[in-house]
Amino acid sequence: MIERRPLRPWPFTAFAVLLFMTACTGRAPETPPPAGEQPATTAIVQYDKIHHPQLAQRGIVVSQNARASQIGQAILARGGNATDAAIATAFALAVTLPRAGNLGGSGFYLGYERSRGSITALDFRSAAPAAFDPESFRDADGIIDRARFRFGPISAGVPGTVAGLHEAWQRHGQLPWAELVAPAEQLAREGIPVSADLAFALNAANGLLRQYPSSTAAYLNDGQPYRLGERLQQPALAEALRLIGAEGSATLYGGTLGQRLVAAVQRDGGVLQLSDLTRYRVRERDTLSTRYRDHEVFSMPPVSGGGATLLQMLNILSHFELGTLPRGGAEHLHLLAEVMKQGAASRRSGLGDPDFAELQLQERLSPGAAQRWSRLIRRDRARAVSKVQPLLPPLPESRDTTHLSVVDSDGNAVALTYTLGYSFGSGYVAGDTGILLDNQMLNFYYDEPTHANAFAPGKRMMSTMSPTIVLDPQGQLFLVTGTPGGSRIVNAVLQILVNAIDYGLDIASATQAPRIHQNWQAAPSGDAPWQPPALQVERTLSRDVRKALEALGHRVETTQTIGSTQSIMVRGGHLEGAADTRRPDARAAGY
Amino acid sequence: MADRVLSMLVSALLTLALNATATAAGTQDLQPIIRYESPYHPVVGTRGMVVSQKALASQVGAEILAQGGNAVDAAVAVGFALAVVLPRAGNLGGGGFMLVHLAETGETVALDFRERAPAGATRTMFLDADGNIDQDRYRFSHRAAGVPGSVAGLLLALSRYGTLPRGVVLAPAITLAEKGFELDYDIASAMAARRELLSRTPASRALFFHPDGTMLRAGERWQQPDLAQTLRRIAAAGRDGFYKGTVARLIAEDMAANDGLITEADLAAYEVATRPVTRGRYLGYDVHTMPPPSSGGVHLVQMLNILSHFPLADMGPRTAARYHTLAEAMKLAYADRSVHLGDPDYYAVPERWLTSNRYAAALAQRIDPQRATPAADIAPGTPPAPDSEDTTHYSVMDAQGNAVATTYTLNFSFGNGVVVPGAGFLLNNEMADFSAKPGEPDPFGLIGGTANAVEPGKRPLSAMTPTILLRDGRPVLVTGSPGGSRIITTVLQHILNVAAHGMNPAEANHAPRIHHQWQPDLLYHEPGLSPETRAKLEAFGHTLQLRTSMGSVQAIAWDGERFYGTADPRRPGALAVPVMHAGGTP
Repeated sequence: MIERRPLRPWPFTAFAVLLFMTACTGRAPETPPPAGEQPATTAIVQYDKIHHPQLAQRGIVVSQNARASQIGQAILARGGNATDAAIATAFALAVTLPRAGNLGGSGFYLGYERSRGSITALDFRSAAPAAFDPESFRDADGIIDRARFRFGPISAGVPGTVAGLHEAWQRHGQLPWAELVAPAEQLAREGIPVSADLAFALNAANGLLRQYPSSTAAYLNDGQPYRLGERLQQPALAEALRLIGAEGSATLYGGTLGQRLVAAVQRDGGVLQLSDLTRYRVRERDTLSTRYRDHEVFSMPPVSGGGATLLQMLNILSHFELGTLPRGGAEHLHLLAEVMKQGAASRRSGLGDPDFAELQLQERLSPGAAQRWSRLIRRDRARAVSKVQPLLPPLPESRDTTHLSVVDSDGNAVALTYTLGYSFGSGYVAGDTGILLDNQMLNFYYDEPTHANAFAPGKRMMSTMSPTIVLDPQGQLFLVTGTPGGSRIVNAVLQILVNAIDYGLDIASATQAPRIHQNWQAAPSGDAPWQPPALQVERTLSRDVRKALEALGHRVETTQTIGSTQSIMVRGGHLEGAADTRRPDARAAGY
Repeated sequence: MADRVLSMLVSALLTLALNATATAAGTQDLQPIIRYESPYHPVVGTRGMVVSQKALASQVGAEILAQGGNAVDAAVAVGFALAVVLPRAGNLGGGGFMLVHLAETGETVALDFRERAPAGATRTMFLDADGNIDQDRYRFSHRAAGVPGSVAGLLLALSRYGTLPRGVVLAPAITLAEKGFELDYDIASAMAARRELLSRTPASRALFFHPDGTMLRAGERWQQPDLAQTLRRIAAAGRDGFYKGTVARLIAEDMAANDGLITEADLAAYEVATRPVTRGRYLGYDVHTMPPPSSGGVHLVQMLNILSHFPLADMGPRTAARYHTLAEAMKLAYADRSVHLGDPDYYAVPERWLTSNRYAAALAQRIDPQRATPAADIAPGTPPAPDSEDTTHYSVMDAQGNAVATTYTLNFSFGNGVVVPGAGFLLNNEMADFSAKPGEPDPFGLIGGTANAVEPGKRPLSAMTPTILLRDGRPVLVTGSPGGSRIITTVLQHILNVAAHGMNPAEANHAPRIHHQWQPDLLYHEPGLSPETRAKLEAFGHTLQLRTSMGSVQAIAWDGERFYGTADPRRPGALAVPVMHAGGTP
C-alpha cells in the first residue's frame, strides 16, 4: 500500500535556487545586554532575557500537550529515535489533544537523518473519497453549497494519519511498533485529567459534538461538557489504538477497524468506501529547500502550499538586509508584511496535488522571480492588497492543527504537522471506532475547475501545513519548527526563521516575540463589499509600533494570537526547546 | 469563524470575577482567563495553587494542600523545601517577610523575620582604618551575616496559623535533602557563577564541589546530609532545634573562629515581629503589603497613589507614554526611599505621610507627560553601585481562600558564601543592607540615610514586597518578587498590568519591565520594548539602559472559584502547581 519513490534530497528546483541566489547579508544579532556583575562562567542560563528555552543534552520533544511530549521523551530515553518518539507523541496527541491530534485526519512528516544528511518528506494528506459528488450539493443558484458538507461524515476525507505514521516507522523506526502505540492506548483507556484548555475546547465544540451520538458518547460527560479536573476516558479510541498497535495500519486500511469505520460512516450518511481506504497511499515527496543567509531551509512541498510559500518569501527577503532593521519595529514588520502579501497571493494560485496538476514550482522559487517581487516592495509605503495579484476566492482555513518537533541523541530530527481541519474536524466520531474524522473536503476549490486545487476524486486537498527543518551554514542541524494556524502557518514559521536567523534570537525569545499576519484576501461576509485584509497583529505589539505601521499605510487590527509553534534549536552543543505559550498545555520535554 | 464562536462562548463562560469597575482613571474590565487573545495563560486549579521558583518546592506545597493542609501549612513546607532545592536564595540562614491573609477573620498580618544585627554590631563595623567601606567584609565575610530569622518565622506562622504537625510539613524538605534531587541547568549555572565565593571555606567546598575539586553539574543528584540533619533537629525540637543546642553552637563556633559576631545569645534572643500591614487602594482594589523595615510596601502604595492620577489604560501597556509615567513616579518614590526608611523599631518612619493621597497628588503634579525630570532636580544624590538579584518569592492559596505571600532571602546569591560547618546551610550577608557609611550608596546603588545605620538588634532596610490585592475583602491577587532594589517596581508593574491594563496574571507577568531608582538617572529596561517605544522615551529625555531581566514574580489570582497561577519565565525552573478537586494534580 506504500508507494516508494527514489530519494532525491536535492531536487532540481532547490538546487537551481541554491546555485543562482545572490550573496546574502550575514546574521546580525542584537547587541547583547551587559552581563550582570557576576557573569556566569557557563553561559547556559543567563538572566539577560525574559524567556528561556527548555534545555536538553540528549533528546527533546516539543508538542502542544505536556503529557504527549513526556511520552515522546520516554520513548527517546528508552532508545527510540526521533521517528519513534514523533510517532508515539502523535498517537498520544490523538488522545490528549482531540481537537487536532488524530487518527482520522492527515498531515505531513519531515524527517532529517543525520547519518545520511538527507531529509524525507512524507505526505499523508487526506484524499477525496471516490464517491464524493460535489454536484449533489449544487443549490438553486447553481453554486456548490459548502455549508452542506462542512461538518459530519460527509465532510471527511480519506484519513491518512495512521498510514503516515506507520510508513514513517517502516522506513526509520527502531523500536517495536506496538511500543509506540501502547502509551496512547493506556492514556485513552485510563483517562486523562481534563485541563482548563481541554475543557475550553470541548465546551466550545459542544454544539457540534452533541449532534452525533457517537461523538456525544466520546466527548461529553453524561451529556454535559467535561469540566476542569474531571477525567476523560476514551475506551473506543483505546480499542482502536489496541488494534493499530497489534495489526499496524492494515487494520484501518482494509482490516477490522477500517470495515467498522466504513460501515459507520455509510450508515450515518457519509460516502467513504472500503476501497478508498485500501487504495490510500502515503506519498514520499521531494523536499523543497532554499538557501537563506547561508542556512539551508527545508520545508514541505505540495500538496502543502505552505512550504513553497515560505521559501518564496525567504527568497524575497534575502534581497533585504533585514537584520539591520531594529527588531520588532515598524520597519522590520512592514517589510515582513509586504513579503507576506506576495506570499499569500501566490499561495492561492497554481498549487495543489502534484499527482493531479502541473505545478509551476520552479518559476515560483527561481531567483529571478524573487528579485522581481522584491522590487515591488517599497520601504516607505504599504502596497494596496488589491494591486498584488488578481483575486481568487478564499478557502476556509482552521487554526486547529497541531505540530510537534523531535530531536534525538543521534541528531536525527522530525517535524510533523497534522490536523483534523477545523477544531474536532467533522465533529463526527465514526461509530464505535472512537475515531474522529476530519472535514477536509472543504479545502478544495469547487467552482474553479481549472485550478490546481480543484476537486477530483482521490485527489489531495491543498494544505498550508509547513513542517520545516533548517541546517546551519556548516550543514549541521539548526532548527526544527512548525505550527498550526491555517493561513497563518507560513507567516508564523517565517517569523520564527527571521527571529532565529536574521536576529540571532534563542528559540524561546524567537517564539515569544509578538507576531503579525498579513493575508491577501479577507473572507467575504455576506453581501458586504470586499475589504482588503488588515495587517493583523498580536496584542503584545506596542501601540507605538502600531502607529508607525499605520503611518506607512497599513490598516492594523489586533487579533487572536497567531500560531502555536513547537520548535527545537541546536545551539552550543545543547538542544533548546520552546513550546509556544499561545496555547496552554504545550511543553518541551527533554533529557 | 470557528475561532470566533469559540472565543465568544468562552468569554461568556469564563468571566473572571475580579473585574475592575471603570473609574475616572479609565480602567477596563479584566479579560477572561483562557482566551486565545493573549499569548500567555495562567495555570488553573480548583482547590488551591502553589507557585514558587522551583518546581519541586511547588509540588511539595501542592501535596500538603492535597493532604488537607491549609495555605500556611503549605507555605511553611515550601519555605523549608526551597532551602534545599534553591540554595542561592531559599534558606534557613537568612530572613524574610510573610504576609498571611486569613479567610475566616478577613485580616492580613505581616510576619517580619528579617535578620537582626548581632549585639556586637557597631555603626562603623564595615569601615577600614581610613574610614572607607571594606567591601569584602561588608559583603562576603562572617561579619556580613545578620542573625537568621527564617526558621523562627516559618515555625511561628505554622504554630499560629497552620493545622499540620511540624514533622509533616518538614518531611518533604528532609527527604529532598537526604535522598537528593537532580540539579537543573539553572541551579548549576548559578553555582558556577559563584564558584570563587563558594570555594572560600572547607564546608562550602564540601557542599558544592566533588572531592576532585570539580563543581557539581546539571543532571547530577545532589544530596545534603548535614542539611537533612539540621532539618531533622528543627522537626524534633522546633525553633530550639535551630536557635539553641547543636545548630546554634555550630554557628557561634564558626563565627568566633572567623571574626564573625553572632553568638549563641544572639540566636536565642531572635524574635519574629508581627506587624500591621501597610494598606493602600488602587482602582477599587485594597492593597495589603509589607510595612517597614521593608521599604517595598510603603513605596508600592506611594507609586500606585501617584499613578492613579494618570490614565494608564488609555495610554496602553507597552507604550512610551505609559513607561514614561511609571519611570517618573518611580524616581519620586525612590528619592524618598533614600531618606525616610529603616527599622520602625529604631526610627519613626513617616509611613502615613508617604502613603497619603494628598502627598501623592502633590507628587503627581510634578510629572511632565512629555519630559523626563532630571534626577538631580528631584533631590541631590550620588552615583550607583552594582546590583544583586537573589531573593525568592512564593505564593500559596488554599480552597478556603487563605493566602500566603512569602519573600525571603540570603541577600546576595548564596549569601555570604559561608556554609555553617556540620549544619549544611548557607548564611546571609544581610548586614550589607545596612548603610555601612550613612550618606553613601549601599551595594545596590541605593543611598541609605541614618534611619538605616547599623545598630545592635536592628533589622536592615529591605525592598521585599510580598503583596495581596483584595476586592470586597477577598484576596484576588497574591504576588511578590525577588530583585533587590527592583523588587518594588517589579511588583508595581505586575499589579498595574492586572489592575489597570486588564491582563490576565500570566500575561501581566510576561510583559517587559522597566526600572528607575532615581539614582543613577537611568531608565533600565528589559529586552522587548519596541524600537519605537525606546525612541520616544529617549525623545522625552530618558537615558535608556538594557539590563538583565527584572524580578521573578510568582503569583496567584483567585475569582472565588478557580485559582490562576503564574510562574515567572525569567528564572527557569519556576512552576505553578494547581490542586484539583478530584484530588491529585495534573
